Amino acid sequence: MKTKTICFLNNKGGCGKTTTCCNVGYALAEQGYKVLLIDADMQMNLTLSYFPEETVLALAMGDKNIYDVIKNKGTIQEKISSTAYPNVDLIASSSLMSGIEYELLTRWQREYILKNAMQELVKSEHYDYILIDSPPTLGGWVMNILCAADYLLIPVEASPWGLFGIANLFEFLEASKQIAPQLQVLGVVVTKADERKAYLKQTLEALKDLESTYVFKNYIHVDSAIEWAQEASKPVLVHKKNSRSAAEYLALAKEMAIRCQ
Amino acid sequence: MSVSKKSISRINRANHNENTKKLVITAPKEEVMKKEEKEKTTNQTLPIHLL
Repeated sequence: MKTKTICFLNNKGGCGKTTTCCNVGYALAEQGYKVLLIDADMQMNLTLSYFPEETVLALAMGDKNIYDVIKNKGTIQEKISSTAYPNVDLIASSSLMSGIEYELLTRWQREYILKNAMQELVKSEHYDYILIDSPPTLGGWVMNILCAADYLLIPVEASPWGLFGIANLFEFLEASKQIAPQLQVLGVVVTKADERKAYLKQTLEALKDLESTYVFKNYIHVDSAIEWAQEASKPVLVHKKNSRSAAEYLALAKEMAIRCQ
Repeated sequence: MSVSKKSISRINRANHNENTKKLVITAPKEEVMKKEEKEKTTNQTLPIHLL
């Protein structure tokens, strides 16, 4: 199977990018796909979803993280860490990523550094899916992620600011089309859905007016199991397999895999 | 108009850009086909003998 690279992006913070990336990644692995997760956000939360805090800090300060790839200190293959779960590997982030925009400024073909670094790995087809968790920004580093990805998945919180955020993102995509012509938008995923709030209904109604953009049928409800899983540094599908959110992420991963075909 | 409605309009505007449509956005094939079919039907002018 040809490797599919999917980035999870929305410039609105706290909309569930990392949690979706973490759990969709695990769900795909559980279905037998070989998955590589790339933590491209300096907050290192995706790394923390799979490793205990000490390991995260050691990876961040060591030489096995995405920052070293950008600094040309070894190949991307050398930066891969195995997780505790079969079929899931991860490239850690680093707090040094906070200076990435400055690092990119003086680099030749700065939008394609990640794409070029991933070229051999993608060509090898070792992984079925490479999932990239993006930071909540729209800058040169995110442009790198968009250039490296085949698909974009947009998690959106059911709130007015959530929709405002994706509108900004779509305008950014319009600007990035020239340098990332291969990119395809897989769709919008509603996260943190709370049935007790009437606003959820309004958001879902508003999303129906989206033209030519897919809204995933499966959306993710608020669930305290997610926070407990984060506390335990585990995907919710591992921490509480019978939880509502575990079932929802599994269904979402299946829907996503079909959309990628 | 509310923030959410304005945001949806902005997204649709961005998606209507010809280049974006061609290069970036993957429209869900089955839904776009349905929409196009609907547009075709509604835009069709009735043959003169049916007017």
